[in-house]
Amino acid sequence: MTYIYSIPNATSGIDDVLLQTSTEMPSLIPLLITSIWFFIFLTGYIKQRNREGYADASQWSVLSSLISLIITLLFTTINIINISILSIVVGITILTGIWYFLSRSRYDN
Amino acid sequence: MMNKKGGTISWSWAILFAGSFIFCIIMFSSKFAIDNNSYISIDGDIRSNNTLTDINNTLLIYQDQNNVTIRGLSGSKIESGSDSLSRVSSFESGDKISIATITNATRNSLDSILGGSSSNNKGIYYIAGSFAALLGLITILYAWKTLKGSPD
Repeated sequence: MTYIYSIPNATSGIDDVLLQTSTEMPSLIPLLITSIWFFIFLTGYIKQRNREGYADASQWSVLSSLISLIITLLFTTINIINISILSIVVGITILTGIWYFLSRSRYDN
Repeated sequence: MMNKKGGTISWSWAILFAGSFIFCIIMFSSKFAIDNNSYISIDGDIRSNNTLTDINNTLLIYQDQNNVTIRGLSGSKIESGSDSLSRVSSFESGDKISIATITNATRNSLDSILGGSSSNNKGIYYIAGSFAALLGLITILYAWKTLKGSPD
């Protein structure tokens, strides 16, 4: 059977599978980081809105950005992302931090 | 962005916290790469290094110009009958250099986030064009609503 991309060698360990898959499809890791960001943001936002009646979007965006940044920094130790993705994640973290500190919800309580 | 409770003290604290946050995030990202021998480090970003070099050069120029003008200013004397300086040349270079530094930093940040305006990647122009088209559509709808009533 012919595949449209080369199948990773699963006998050399699960870490090698991740590395070979990300080499074969470079958008895998950015999509994974984006899905983690939206998972934390949407679950936290909707849960807080259902429990409290209001939700702080800036707070959940800065929290999800920080967790995404830490996961991205862990990925940099095994060379499966590039410098532009790391720069984008750091930039988004800084922008959401500025949004959080300048948002009005810090003063409403 | 701020509500009525946010006065000068709130703004000052917000800007102070935002600056500390930016400093901590960049330091954490940089030192993490150094401590763990990462393959990818934010210190290796070409645009960030270019921005740092630009800021250092502009600050050196500012320092030189300011030294020259402040030396001339302290060496000058006010003649009798004149009560004011005709020019504030020690502050004139500061304006231009502050604007140039902010412009460089903003352009490099947008290049890093939105894909770059000076390289072959022209993604920022698609985003800016879409945004301009949206603004134009909103303007047309407002004009229509003003002249003819509700657009729906």
